[in-house]
Amino acid sequence: MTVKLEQLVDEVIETDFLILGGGLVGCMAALRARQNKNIDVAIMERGNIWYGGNAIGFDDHNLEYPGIIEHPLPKNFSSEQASKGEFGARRFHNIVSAKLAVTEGRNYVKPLVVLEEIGVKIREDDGTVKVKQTQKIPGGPNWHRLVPDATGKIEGDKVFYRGSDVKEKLANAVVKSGARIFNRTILTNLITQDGTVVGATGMNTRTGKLLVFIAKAVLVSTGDMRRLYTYPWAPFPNNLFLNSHFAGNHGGGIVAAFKAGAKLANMEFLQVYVVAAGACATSAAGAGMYWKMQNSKGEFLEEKYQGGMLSKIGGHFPATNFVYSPNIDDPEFEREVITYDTSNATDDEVVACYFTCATEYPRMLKLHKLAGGIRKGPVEARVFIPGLLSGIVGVLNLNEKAETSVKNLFIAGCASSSTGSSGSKAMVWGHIVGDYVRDIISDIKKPVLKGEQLQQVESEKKRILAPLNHKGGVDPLELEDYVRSINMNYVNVRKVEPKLKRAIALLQEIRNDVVPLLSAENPHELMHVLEVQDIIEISELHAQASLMRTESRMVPSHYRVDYPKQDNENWANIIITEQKIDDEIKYTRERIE
Amino acid sequence: MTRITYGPRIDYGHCNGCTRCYELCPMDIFGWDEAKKRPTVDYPEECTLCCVCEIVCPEIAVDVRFPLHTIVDFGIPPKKVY
Repeated sequence: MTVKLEQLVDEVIETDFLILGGGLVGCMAALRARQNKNIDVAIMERGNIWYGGNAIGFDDHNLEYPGIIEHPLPKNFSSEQASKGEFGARRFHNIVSAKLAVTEGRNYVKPLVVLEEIGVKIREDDGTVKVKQTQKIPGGPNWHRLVPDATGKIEGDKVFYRGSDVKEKLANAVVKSGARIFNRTILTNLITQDGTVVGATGMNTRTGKLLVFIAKAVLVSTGDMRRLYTYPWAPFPNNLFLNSHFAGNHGGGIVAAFKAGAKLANMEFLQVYVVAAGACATSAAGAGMYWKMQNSKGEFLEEKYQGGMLSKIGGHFPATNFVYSPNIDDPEFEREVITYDTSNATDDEVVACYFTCATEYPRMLKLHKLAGGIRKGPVEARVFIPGLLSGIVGVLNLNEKAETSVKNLFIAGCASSSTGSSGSKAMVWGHIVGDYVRDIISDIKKPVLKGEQLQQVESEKKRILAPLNHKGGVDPLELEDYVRSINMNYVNVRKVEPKLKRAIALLQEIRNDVVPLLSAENPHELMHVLEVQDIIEISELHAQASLMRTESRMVPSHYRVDYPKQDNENWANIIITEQKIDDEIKYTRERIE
Repeated sequence: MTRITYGPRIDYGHCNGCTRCYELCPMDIFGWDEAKKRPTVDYPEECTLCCVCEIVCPEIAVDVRFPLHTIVDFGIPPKKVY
């Protein structure tokens, strides 16, 4: 018996361009695509497009390109030039494409233009753009004005602009653009037809309504994989949701793309962060970005470990910046109490810190206010793992158009394996995809769902709703806590074969024996059921890739205790993870350009 | 489960039922009481303490309470909060 799509779900939405995730990437892509008003754009967002995503969660509203900020970039801008900067560090590690880094660099001013158009204040009162050079003065902030030389070249690392309202302004512009917005809607799966993506299924997390989107092109911009480890200083359930990034980012889009046939890359690399104790795992302002860190003996760490892999400034790359010891087996952080002392801060430093706080979630300013101001005294700094390494780990970005190995499926932002780890870079890729889709969409035929796709939707519906019929079963948050404990105890920073194998065995056992027992009483809990299943998938892929890479690279991002050395002969390449049609998972190594 | 002591608290004496906290919370922890036309805090345990609800409230009727570990760790005098 043939069942009609309309009978299976509550709403069917036909669109040209479906954007999964309404963060910086999704909003930027929507604005660019809607430059052509004939193109219908739909955005599916788990939270709401005004405050969802990573945008408001940290100080990342900057455009970074060390030493090579020019307006515009020179025409002959090459990978050699790129290799001098931050991207060079990445290229050195052979896990991110230098070719794509150059693409990013070439396009990086474009989103800034869009932001200025929609009223984001990127300039000072005198019309200049504020630039911060990182690491020029160790331990101190270094603000200066952007002054081009006679050739128009501007030296500087980051263009900072006030970012606290950037997401609201972007969201308002998206609303005004006429894109259709589906807030409080979680992606559950992609729909494919002969290796081409033709749509997606989603669930409204308030009403429980099931939605099917039929689309010519789909962009995965669901952000990074955050909920894999726990925030170790908070008790359950608070340990699940405190993160330096948006805690709604659990990697759902990445899992959906993977199941649809997209290749993933670099799943073994985790992110290590320093945060101020009590700062709710916030980023730079709470991480002592502007202050010197010291141990209990009063030794300043950047002086003690000068010249090594040691820098407290950054927040983006490499993660090794955050481990204050040249020796992974004996990190200073673990034997010491590390603090930063703000009591002697200069006015400039205080201003810099408040500026950064103001671009983060409002909680930072509130915390400082409650504590009596930022000049209070020593603040403890702690290390934790917010998730996998943003902008390095995720769906494999195949080319300059951000295409994936699934036709008409695009990838951008933190869900992508190739750069795009900061808000500004994410917006660059959103801009690229939005422009490209706008140009090609008229060449793509409107998809027609056939029997096979209806079956996909039907089985997805069964999967989504099953926990509602299972009263008194397993609580999804309790399971999530357990899965994340497995990652903490068996994977973590010091990876070793027997423990990785044990993690994989436990995760498989959970998938087979516990997942069918999950229960939910309402759509909100159903959302957590869907999330925890994705978290289990990602955890296993993370452990498998960690097991496969029998070397250490970018320590502590991937540190194998049993293979502590970097092995460029065998491992100067990325691990591609791919799910085959028969559900078998294939892991291969590939060199990357 | 132990009673959750952190998350948003709504001063219903000042709340005007504008729905902004309910609509804009990134984690969707608020519910809506249709009879009273007022927000409720349904999932305080999922609060990331971001305080967006505080800044979007036109009546300053929402106060996000930090958990004990945050208060002590950040150096906030407990007496100021409890």
